[in-house]
Amino acid sequence: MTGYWGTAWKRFKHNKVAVAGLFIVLFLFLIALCAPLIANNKPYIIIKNKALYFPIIIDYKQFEGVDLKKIDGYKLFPPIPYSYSEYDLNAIVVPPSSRHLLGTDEQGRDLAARMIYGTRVSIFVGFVAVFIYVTIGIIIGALAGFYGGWVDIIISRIIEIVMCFPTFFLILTILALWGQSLLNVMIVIGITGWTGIARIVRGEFFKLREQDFVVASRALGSKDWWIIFKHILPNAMAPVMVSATFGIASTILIESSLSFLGFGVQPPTPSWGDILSQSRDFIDFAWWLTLIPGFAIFITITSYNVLGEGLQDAIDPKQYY
Amino acid sequence: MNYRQNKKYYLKVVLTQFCSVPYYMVMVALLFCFSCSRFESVRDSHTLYVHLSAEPGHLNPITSTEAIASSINTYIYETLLDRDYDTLELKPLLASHWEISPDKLHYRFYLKKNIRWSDGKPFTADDIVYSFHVIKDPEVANAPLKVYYIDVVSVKKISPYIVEFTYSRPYFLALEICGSIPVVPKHIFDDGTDFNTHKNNRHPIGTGPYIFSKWETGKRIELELNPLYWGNKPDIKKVIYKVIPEPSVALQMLKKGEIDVMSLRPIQWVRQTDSKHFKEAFYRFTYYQPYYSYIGWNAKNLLFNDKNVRKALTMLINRQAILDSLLFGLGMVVTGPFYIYDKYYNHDIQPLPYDPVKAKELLKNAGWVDSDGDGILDRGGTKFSFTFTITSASKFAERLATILKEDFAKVGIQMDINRYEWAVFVNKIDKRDFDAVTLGWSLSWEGDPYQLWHSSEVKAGSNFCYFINREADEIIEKARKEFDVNKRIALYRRFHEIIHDEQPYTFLYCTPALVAVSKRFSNVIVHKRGLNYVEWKVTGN
Repeated sequence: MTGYWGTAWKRFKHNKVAVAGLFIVLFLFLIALCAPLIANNKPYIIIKNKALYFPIIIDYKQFEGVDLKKIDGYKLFPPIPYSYSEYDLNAIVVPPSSRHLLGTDEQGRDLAARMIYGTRVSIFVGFVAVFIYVTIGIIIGALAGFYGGWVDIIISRIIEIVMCFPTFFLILTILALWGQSLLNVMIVIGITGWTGIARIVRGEFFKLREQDFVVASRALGSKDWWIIFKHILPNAMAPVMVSATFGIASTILIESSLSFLGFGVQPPTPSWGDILSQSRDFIDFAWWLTLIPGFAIFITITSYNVLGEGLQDAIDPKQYY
Repeated sequence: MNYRQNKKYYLKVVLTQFCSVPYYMVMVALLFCFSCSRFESVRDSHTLYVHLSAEPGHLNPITSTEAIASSINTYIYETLLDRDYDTLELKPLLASHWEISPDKLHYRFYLKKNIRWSDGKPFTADDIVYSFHVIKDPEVANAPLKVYYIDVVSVKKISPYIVEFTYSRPYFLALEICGSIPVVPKHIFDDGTDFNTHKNNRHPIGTGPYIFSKWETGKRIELELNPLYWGNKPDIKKVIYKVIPEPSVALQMLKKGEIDVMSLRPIQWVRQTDSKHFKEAFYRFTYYQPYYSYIGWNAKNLLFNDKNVRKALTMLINRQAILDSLLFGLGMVVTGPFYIYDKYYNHDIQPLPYDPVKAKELLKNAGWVDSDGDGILDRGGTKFSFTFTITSASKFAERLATILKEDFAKVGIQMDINRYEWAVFVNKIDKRDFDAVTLGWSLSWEGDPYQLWHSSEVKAGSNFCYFINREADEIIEKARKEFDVNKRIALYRRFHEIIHDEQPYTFLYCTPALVAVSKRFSNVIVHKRGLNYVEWKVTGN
């Protein structure tokens, strides 16, 4: 593989820390994707009376309302045989053991299962919110950068006004008005976070719009939107991607903070911030309830940050020429 | 370039927050800095520091409905009569004595003459007449209080120190209602401004042992000894209420001696304060108060307008197991709308058992079956799916809700949980915009179920679950006129039966108060009514 992205990948490979970050990010992706296969209270397979069942995939009528853990016959359970909302009032705040790998919380729910499903929330919120604001940022930044003049003046002022708002408090206010849900968290982060991207895109457009290939395309009679999306934008994407990577890290942190304050997900949806928040009462005797989600947040955010940094070094040609 | 700056910022955050020290330690430290940094350097031993888990909106006894506000107001404002802390008998406070007419319609109170408001103006019958008119004023927002004064026709000033209440019909609670009328100073409040938003709502002036001195919003409320107080002066010179919403932070401050009195949560009682070390420095008191918690089913919702469905829902809730685990067994399962130690409480009624099989049968008989095989019960095209509204102020509510969601799902009932801020939550209930809700209710010592259960209260009053039952209405009305205690007991026990049969609420628990008090005070006595700071003596630093 050669070309711009090929050389970038070559450079990226040499940065060991960044590669480690990439692997952790991919690993978290895998966990999020396979969460129901890793932690589930339904077995993969049941062999009963010489019949084969796959309860994890198919809902069988005859197993409805039956505790699958107590069924006779051969059962193969996932590594963590609990769902994230399944509670056990006889095992409240139990430290990590062979039965509960990461211990249980104040309702006797398995912490490992909740952490795994919490990965989904973190990654989902991170990507959707960043996708929303990158889209908004690109469109607004492209308009300002491409047309310049009074369009640019108006848009730049709007960007400056939006940047003045203290984002976190704006988010809290909007959530108080709309009501709290994961969707609202994503939308709110999305519509408040686009200014940085818009500025980057605007700057890149300013630089690129006078380049020869743009002039050539214009001379051939291309329409504006064609020039914007086909010619200029692909060349402006590199810094956007770097910024988006950092954006995912900060979004995960914002979601955790919101959940910690009780503004994030609705129970019983697990979120790392929420688990951390719930554990405040037990801080002096249940170390696993604070340390594990805290560590997960730390690792995730660090990984995205080193990944972003590696990406930045790899695609910034100025550092090499 | 902009994103570069961003990067550095994030990295700094990451480094300082996560790398240098374990994350949870930073978190705790931050929480503590937040609450401790402004702590005063010199602490007066004659000052009592009390923990407040939430801040009251204001301290006007006529318009406030918050329990926290009234816990502060008892030391600022006084009433004509008071309940004895141990016998619960009514005894004189602002009034020296009283007379009741033979037809039980006229109540005449003789006021003590040497009493002054804390600004020096004398306390007279005018203040009581004014307070009564304010309570009756439709412009004043105090619907729950108005209910108790429906039958009071007039309050007349006979002389500056004699006042007479007149009822349109006899009412067994009349003496208590007249004797406990909240009294505010006329010369302060009657100045032509709006009573609901009067500036003295947050600067109370009363006749009680303490006067209001300072309010730092979000932080503390300070009371000082009333130099003009007519009764015995307490030993504690100053009471400072500190607002600390986070219970774990409050406990740490208690242990460090920065607060003296705190209501503990069950887990704190069992796991975090049960050490010898803690007990050397603190008294731990547990006592029951008239209170119950419940789940209310909005009968306006078609899902809940059948009493058999409500019964089935109660039978799906393992109340004892939840009590034993989430509340560490601190409390009792209750079955009805009275205080469990009250004479009216009907002990013949046993709680509905936890019985999912029977519950499923009840639901089936009521027409709720899973006809389309999607795992959710339905009837005539309607799915059994509803929202459980909780407040983020209560962690117990959240834990209860997640347990119910799991248990209900097993029989095919789909329940979503919606968690709201306290103010939004209260607003939803006022607008009757909920399916099911969990709350607690503090009862008065001598109760009248009218406010909660009479059908006239469904629109604007406190009967927000739309409980309408003709026999219950008749009993409530009859009992109000019944002065014979034994007859009233019979009526109310029957009323308890009706409530149990109808299950408008799933009654949960009567939970005890769990209080820790610093041992630098002596003469700390647990009365039937609870603790009373006025009698405490300071013995240590």
